[in-house]
Amino acid sequence: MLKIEHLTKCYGEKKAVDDLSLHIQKGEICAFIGHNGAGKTTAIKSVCGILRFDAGEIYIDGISVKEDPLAAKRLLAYIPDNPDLYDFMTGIGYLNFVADIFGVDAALRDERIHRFTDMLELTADLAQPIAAYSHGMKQKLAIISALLHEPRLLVMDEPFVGLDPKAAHLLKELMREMCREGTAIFFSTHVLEVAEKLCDKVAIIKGGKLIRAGKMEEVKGDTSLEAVFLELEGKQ
Amino acid sequence: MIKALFKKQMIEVFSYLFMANKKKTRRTGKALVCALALYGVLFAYLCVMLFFMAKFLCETLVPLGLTWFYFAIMALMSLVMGIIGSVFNTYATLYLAKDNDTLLAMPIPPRYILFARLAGVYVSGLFFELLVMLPATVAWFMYGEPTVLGAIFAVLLPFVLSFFVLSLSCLLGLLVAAVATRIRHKSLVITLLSLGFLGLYFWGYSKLMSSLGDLLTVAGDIAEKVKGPLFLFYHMGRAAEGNGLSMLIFTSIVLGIFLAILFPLSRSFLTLATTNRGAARKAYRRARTAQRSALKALLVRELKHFLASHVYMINCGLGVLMLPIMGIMLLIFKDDVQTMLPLLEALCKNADTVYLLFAAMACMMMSMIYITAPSVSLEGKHIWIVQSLPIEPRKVLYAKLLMHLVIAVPAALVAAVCLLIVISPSLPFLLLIPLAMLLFLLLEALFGLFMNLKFPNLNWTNEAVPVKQSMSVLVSLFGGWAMTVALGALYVPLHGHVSPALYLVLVCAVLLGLCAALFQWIRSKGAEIFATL
Repeated sequence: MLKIEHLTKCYGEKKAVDDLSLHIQKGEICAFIGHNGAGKTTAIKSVCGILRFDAGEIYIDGISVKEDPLAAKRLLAYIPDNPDLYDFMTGIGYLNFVADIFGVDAALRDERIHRFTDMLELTADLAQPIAAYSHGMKQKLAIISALLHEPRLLVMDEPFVGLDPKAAHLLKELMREMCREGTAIFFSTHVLEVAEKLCDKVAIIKGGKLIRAGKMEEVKGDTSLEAVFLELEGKQ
Repeated sequence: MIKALFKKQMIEVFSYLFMANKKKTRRTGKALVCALALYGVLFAYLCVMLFFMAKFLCETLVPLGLTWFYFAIMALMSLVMGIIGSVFNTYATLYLAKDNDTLLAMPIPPRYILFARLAGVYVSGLFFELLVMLPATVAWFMYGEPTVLGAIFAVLLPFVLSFFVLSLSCLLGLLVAAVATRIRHKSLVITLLSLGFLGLYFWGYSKLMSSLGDLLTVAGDIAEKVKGPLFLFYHMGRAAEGNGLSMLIFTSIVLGIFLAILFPLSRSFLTLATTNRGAARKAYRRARTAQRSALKALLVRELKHFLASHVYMINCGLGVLMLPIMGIMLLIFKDDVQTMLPLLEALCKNADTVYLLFAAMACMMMSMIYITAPSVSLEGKHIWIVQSLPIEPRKVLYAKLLMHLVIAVPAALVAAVCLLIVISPSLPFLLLIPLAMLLFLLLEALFGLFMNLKFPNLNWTNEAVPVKQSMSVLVSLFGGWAMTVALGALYVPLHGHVSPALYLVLVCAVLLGLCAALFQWIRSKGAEIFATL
């Protein structure tokens, strides 16, 4: 579903992502881990067509992000690490805006909006302006907006930051359910325990380079993901 | 500590000059020289335009011994500019800055934060105020009889006067903040409050200016009459003449007013900056919404943003209000205008030339509508949303253009209809005047968007920064005026060779050509730039 091949992205002289290759199949959850400034967000933004990259290719379900970004974007949904949403809109206004862009018809969006807002306990706040939302509420709204068009690839940057324990639990459940239905999920996180329990795959990035990637069981072996990560961090 | 805060505030105020925002890096070398030159030329152009008026007033009033009145008039004009420059962004700068929470969490006394913010408002006001006071002072040096002390005081006066602008701005900011924490339709109320304040000021100002018609004959009497109400400016003018006592009185009063406003401002800053009692909670009622096209959804998004931001509405859309007001005023004073028409026709030596004059005036007024000029910058940190959604970048830009037109065209049409009723022109002008107005409006929308794509600023702490302190806004506003003046001036050498109607046809053709060129650039190169911001 997601095929990243030799991705390279530079900021001036500095290579933020250096020759990164990674494949994620349908129904797989892949954790993307690395220290601060390792290049996770840059790689994620490149996947979502927000950043243009210098070399390599990214395919979403066979569609090149470089050649046909609109078609690729129709298949994915992105949730950033800091959900800066439109403060001037209400929650329901924002969800309708996103649904309009994806062309989700009225009946379907109504059903989906209320299914997810009920699940994440945000329905009562939908008429409030986003400016009045807490960080966690904005994060929930960003998650709901990402699910409205039933994406085939869900890309998330630190999705659990700001969520209360119940919402975090629900999000994990939702991720598992989506995977069962064939959606691929690629997300960055610093919570290694979550990654270890939730993910089929893991990719570890350091200084822009992918230093380890594979099935979770293969990467961590008999130890924990934390131990592997710390060992790799120390080695390089 | 306070030095660091001031530095941060000044970096923000002058970010449009020193930051190449597209790359989020500091401008250096050629880029910095170009930016400084562009602003310098713009500033100089406006100063030169105002210099001729200052020269006229100076040459008229100074020989009559009314130097103080000359400075009073110029000070009042500079206050208008200063107020336009700072009053509408004071509330946003002081209380809505996105870094308020960050700074308040640091071991910084809140009053230091307030002082730094006030410094930003002071500098913004000073910049606009100097557009008038600089040529006024130069004219006074050239055509007045300044003493050494008077010259020193004249240089210092604009800096003192700017504290008066700051005081007025803070007063409104305080009032707005007090109201804004308690209401639901915050933007609407703030907009009405600000417009009311502006209307009140302009009413007083126009009362004074209406006296200027008789100035040449009864300047002494008028000056004597207004000496009392303009006590403050009387002493300002006397100070420019070299009167030390008047300088002391003027400075003391201005600083006294500022300190009197600073006291409640300082006491309430923390409460107002951190309070969001806002509106009563609105209950959500489930209702099915009709599906919109992507372009319509983007247009609605733009309109919601515009209507939710009083800073945006007041600064960039003031012309939308002024145009119908101008039209209705023309209808109200229809008889007076029609009496004036033969005089103007005699002056222009051609009846049809008068219509060109009216068309130019309408275009001047429409230059005050520059809604697209900060629209790209206002995407700010939200830009990831449109960049990650499956939307063609050019559609986002089309929505911005459409917003400008949806808001401005009805106002322009009302003004055009009123104008045409009053001046009752011949058939060609009946068609050409509204056409020229609409094309100018479209050009303003395209030019604003073009400038903002060339000079975007996505990193700001409050909306007043992209809306007021940005290259795109300044160039769009003054560029519209410059364009009108240039098109008007171009007629002077052609007068007698080309009929006014043909000239207006040529103007329409030029406007259309410019619109086509800018539109082509926006849909190709502009869309490319937007996608990579």
